[in-house]
Amino acid sequence: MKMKLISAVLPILCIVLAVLVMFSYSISSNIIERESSELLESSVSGQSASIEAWLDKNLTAFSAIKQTIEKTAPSQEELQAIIDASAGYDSNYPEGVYIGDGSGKLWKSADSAKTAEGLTESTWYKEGLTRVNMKYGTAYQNAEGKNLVSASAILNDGSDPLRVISADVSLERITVIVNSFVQMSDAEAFLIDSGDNTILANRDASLISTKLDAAEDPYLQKVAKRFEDRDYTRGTLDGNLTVFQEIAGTDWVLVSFVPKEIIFSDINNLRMKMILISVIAILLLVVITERCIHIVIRPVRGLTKSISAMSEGDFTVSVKTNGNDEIGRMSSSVSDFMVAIRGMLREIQTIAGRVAKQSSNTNQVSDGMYNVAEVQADSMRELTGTVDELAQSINEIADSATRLAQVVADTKVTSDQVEDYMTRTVQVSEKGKQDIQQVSVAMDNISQSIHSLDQAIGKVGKASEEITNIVSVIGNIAEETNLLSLNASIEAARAGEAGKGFAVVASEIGKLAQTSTESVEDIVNLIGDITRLVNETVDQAQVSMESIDESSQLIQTALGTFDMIFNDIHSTSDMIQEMMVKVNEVDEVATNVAAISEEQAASTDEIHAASENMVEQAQNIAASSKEVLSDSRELSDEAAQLSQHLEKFRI
Amino acid sequence: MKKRLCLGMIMLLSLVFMAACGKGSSEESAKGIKMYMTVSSGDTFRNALMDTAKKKAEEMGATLDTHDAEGSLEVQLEQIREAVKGGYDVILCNPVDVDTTLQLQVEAGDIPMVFWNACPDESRLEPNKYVFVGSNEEDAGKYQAEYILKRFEKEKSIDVAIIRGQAQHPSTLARSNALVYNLKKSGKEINYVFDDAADWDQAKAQSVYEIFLKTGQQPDVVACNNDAMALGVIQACKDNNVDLKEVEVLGVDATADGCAAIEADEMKFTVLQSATGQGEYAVKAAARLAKGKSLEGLDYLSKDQKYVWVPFEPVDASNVADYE
Repeated sequence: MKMKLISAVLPILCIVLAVLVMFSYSISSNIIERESSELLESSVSGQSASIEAWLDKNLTAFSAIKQTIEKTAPSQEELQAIIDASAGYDSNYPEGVYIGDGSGKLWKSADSAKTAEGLTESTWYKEGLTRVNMKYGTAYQNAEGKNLVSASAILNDGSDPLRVISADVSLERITVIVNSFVQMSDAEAFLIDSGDNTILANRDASLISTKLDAAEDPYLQKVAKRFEDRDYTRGTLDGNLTVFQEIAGTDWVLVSFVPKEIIFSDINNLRMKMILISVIAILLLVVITERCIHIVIRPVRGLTKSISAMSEGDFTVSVKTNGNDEIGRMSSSVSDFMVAIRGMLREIQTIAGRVAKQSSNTNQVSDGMYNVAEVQADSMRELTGTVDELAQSINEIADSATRLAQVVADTKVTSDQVEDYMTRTVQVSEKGKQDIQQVSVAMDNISQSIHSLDQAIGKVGKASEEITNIVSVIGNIAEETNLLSLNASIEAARAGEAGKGFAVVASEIGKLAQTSTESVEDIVNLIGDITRLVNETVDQAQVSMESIDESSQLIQTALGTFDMIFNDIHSTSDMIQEMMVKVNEVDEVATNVAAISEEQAASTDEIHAASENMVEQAQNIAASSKEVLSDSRELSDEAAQLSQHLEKFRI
Repeated sequence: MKKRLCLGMIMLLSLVFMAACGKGSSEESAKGIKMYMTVSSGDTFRNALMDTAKKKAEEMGATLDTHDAEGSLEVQLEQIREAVKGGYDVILCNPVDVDTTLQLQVEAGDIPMVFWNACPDESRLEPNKYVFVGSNEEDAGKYQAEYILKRFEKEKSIDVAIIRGQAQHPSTLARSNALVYNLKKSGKEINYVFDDAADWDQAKAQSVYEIFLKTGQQPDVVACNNDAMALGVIQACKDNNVDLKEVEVLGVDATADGCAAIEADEMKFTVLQSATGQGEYAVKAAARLAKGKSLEGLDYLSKDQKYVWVPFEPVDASNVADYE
């Protein structure tokens, strides 16, 4: 118990403290690093300003001398005087200015140890030729082995050959300046000529005038890399916080650095102290926790004993209840709990007994219920079968009714057509009747015409008789004429010669009478023929008259028959009309019947579905009652078990 | 409790980190953004820059209004106030005086600003809030060095003369240092036969170069910090019968006279600050700032995300016609 608590608390404590220490360490180290960088930067910029000012002051002095010489165009003596005056004027350039030309001639102050040897090859001279304004050049060693930087330029005084004016500043001097102006404690600075990476100033004098690239120190190598990339941003190089600052007016770069370990020495110290305090705090907390737990758990022990007895089923033990703290209250609660449990257990015993009894009753009841439910389910199943058949029959009826309705509808269409035909038949027979009437009228007309013909023929007969009479008259005349001619011929023959002429006439007249008699006989014959023909025609007309009369009578009879047919057709049409009405009625009824049968079929389907549901329900009920049965059996088993368990408690 | 606090802080930090990582950088539209552009005073270069900016803004769907402060700081401050009142999303400012940047920023309040043409001090700039769009002076020196190295590719050593602007002028230092650095990096032997200041001035350059000519030396190339001084050098050569075919004179700025000199084959090379490029990138940067987006992924953005360095454009005989 004790160990468990401590082992739970201890790691958390350690983690929290470790996080706290790390957190505050990283924040403080960030702050310190930033502040140190800023301090270093302000230090280096102040320092570079001082160096710039120092360089500038000297350069201004040199420029002033140069200007003087250029403007005044001095004679040799005057020039020497100016040069001598510049020497010893300022400790920064003790030897003053000097002048050289391409021919190797040198003008210098009296104190100067400078020689004209190798003048045109010297650094100051060659550099001087590349500018008109005075400027510091690169570092070099003079003949005496001194490290120097010269400020030089072309002396623009119109002289020929060109002359170069120059003045030397020693690198040691610059180093002093660089080192003296460091404004941050523990920081160092050095000066590099970025043109050729020469170290111009350094605390380590042996490095002065050497090349940065050749340095063996790893830090300087890293700095050299920065110069190679011309990367003058602040950064940490080889554990040193480093800042760069270009010196205006020169190619020089001031590098200032401070080792990080110096910056962080305080913070590391702080970290150590914090860790120490944390460890002590942890140890102290462990001891205090252990003691507290010991005091707290003492009364809990007695209580634990009682509770273990309780867990074994002994509710007869007593519990000490003293104190008013959580533990005391817990003890009295446990005591109350025990009393309550005792009462409860007793009640449970009684209830268990009752439950056992009731569950056996339930057993019986549910058994019965299950059987009943089974029967019900079977009945329901049968009912469903019946309803199913019923549904089928009704569906058939519905189908038949639908078909009947269809047939009736078809019949209706056919009757409509018959009606149409009938109407047309009536119209046609009426037309027929009218036609026959017209035939009858025509027959009457024919009969009258024949009558007229008969009469006309009669008149022809009379005319023929009159002609016959006239012809016979003519025949008589011709005979008398013939007699006369004979008489005349006889008389002529008596008259002799005189009557000869007359005898010819009389013979001619006799001939004529003869001819006339023959013609009369022909005419009589012809008229006889005509009369016979006319009589025949009259007979024929008579026969026609009779035939026509007969036809007329027949037509009259046909007309009567037509009337009868017409009447019959009319009554047939009426009957069909009536039949149509009936058919319509039947159609309506059949349609209604079909609809009703369909509804009935649908209803039956519903009843069928409902009865199937009922079957399912009945089966469910049966299943449920089975479950109830098994549950009640379990209940009675459990009631028995409960009674057994309760026997274990001592109360 | 402390542990939970620590956990909370870790979560907060990772959220910030994730937010910082999750940005896109495709060519974006700037639909509906209102930009306010103020110029200290219009000149040929700045007007060209503003014209490009306006065109570019319209192309991206933004509106850009230009205003001229006519050289007055008071007018410019009034313009910034007007921009704040007008509900503009971003201000493109060419400060009348870069030393007053802080006051301009105070007036602008929360509105982000893109500075152009004149660069405020680095400490006044802030990533994704106050940025400068311009050309890096060092590029001018770098291009000159590249031209020299290409021209004298086969030579082992090159004699170079440098004519500088005012000795302490930032442009002088940037242009010259970049030139020297890039030549040095080539590994060739570079002899600086002359290296002096002529204060941007043609006459001064001429006289300084005439003095140099007296040394009897002949450089391969004369690199000048600007076109005016290059023209001075050319004049000095002409006056002293130096064959301009023997010496390559280089300038910076691509002024009309400079271009004419290139045309006449007297000057060989110069570099131009691109007004169109600067205008375009000023608007691109402004659109991002207005939307509260990071500039990350924008071309020519510096590492510290405070500058957008639109490159200079090299000009020589092959393309001088495009710049006249």
